[in-house]
Amino acid sequence: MNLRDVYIDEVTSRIPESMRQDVALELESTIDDMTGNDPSDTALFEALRQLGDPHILAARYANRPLHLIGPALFTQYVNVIKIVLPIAVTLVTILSVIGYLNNSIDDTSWSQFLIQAFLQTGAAIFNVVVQTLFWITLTFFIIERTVPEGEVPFSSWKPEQLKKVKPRSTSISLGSILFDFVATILMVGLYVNAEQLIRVVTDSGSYPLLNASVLDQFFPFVIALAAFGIAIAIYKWMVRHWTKPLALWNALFNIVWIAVTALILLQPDLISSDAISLMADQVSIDVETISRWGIRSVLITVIIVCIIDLAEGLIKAFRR
Amino acid sequence: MSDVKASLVTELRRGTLTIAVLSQLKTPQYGYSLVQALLDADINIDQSTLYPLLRRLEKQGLVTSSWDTTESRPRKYYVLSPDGMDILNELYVEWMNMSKTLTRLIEGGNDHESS
Repeated sequence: MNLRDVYIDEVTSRIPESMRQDVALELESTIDDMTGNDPSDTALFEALRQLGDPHILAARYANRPLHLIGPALFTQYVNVIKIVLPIAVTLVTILSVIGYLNNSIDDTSWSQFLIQAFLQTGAAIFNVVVQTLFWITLTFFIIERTVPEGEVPFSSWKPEQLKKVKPRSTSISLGSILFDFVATILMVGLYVNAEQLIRVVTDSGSYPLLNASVLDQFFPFVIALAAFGIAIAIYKWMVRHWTKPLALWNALFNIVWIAVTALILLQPDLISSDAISLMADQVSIDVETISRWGIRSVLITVIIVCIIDLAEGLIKAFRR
Repeated sequence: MSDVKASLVTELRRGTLTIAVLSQLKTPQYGYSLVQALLDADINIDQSTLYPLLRRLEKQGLVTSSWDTTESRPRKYYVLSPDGMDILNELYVEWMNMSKTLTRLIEGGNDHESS
C-alpha cells in the first residue's frame, strides 16, 4: 500500500460507509491530478499537505462538528454546570461529613481525625466535580451532534428574563450557604462527640472537659436548633437573595442560637469536676477563674458572630 | 496591522466562497480543474474545504455529479442543476445589491467627512 492509499484510507475509515467508495475514488483521482506525472514522494507530500489532516477532511465530509460544544449551546452548557455543580458539591460535602462523623473516632487523635476527614471530604468533592462535569459535557456533546443544524434545542434568551434578575448587592453567595450547612453539621457532630473530641490532655492522660450528663440534657435543644439552621439554609438556597421575611427569620434564628448557647454555657456544672481537678494539679493559677473566663469569651464570640450575621441580613433586605 | 488586514480579508472572502464555486460550475468541472479555475481567478480555496463543500451542494440539490471513465483516469464531474442555476442568479442579485449598498456607505461616508 503506498502512502496515497494510506492517506485515503485514513479519511474514508472515518466517514459513513455509504460514501466511502465514492470519496476514495475521487480523492485518488484528485491526488493523481495534483501530482501530475511526478511519482516522487515530494510531489505526493505536497499534494497531501494541501489536502491537510485526514481527520479534519473526514469530519468535513461527514459534516461532523470539529468542536465539543458549539456557540449555540455553550452558554446553556455553562449555565447547567453553574446550577448543578454547587448542588452536587453541597450534597456530597454534607453526606461525607455526616458519614465521617458517624465513624467511631475512639482510637484516633484530634489532628488525625481532622486530617482524615479533610482528605476524605476533599476526595469526595473532587470525585463529584469530575463526575458532574463529565456527565454534563457528555449530554451536551450528544445534543450537539443529534439536534439538526439550525435548530435551537433550548429556548433562546428573551429580554423579559431581565425582570427576574435580582440585584447583586442583595444576593446570597452559594459559598456562604454551603458554609451554613457544613457548619451546622460540624457543630452537631462536635456536640454529639464532645466526650471524645473536647478533652483535657495532661501528662497522666486525658479526660473529657465537659460534663456528658449536662450535654445530654440539652441535646433536644441542639437538634431543634440544627433543624432550624438547616431550614434557614434551604430557604436561603431557594430564594438566593435577602428578602424581608428571610432576614426576619434569620434574625430570629440568630437570637435563638445565642439563647441556646447561653443556656448551655451558663450551666454551673458544664465543665466536669474531674477535668477541673485534673487541671488544678497541673497549673498553679485558679482553675475556676480560667474556666469562667473561657466560657465567657466563647459566649461573647458567639454573640458577636450571630449579631453580625443577623445585621447583614436585615441591612441587605431593608436598605433599599 | 497587516495581520489584522489579512484576517479581515479572509473573513470577508469566506462568505463568497460558495458563490465563487457555483459560478464556475455552469460548465462541468472536476475537483482539480475547479481548484485551477478558482486559482486563475486569484481565489485560493483550501482543498480540504472544497471537496466536502461540493458534496454538501450536491446533497442540497444545487449541483449534480457524474463519473467520467472515458479519460485516462476516472474523474468526478460536478455541474449546476436547474435549482443551482436559480440559486446562483439569486445570489448574484444579492451580491450586486450588497456591493451597491457598501459602495454607497463607504463613499457616502467620505462625502460626509469632507463637507
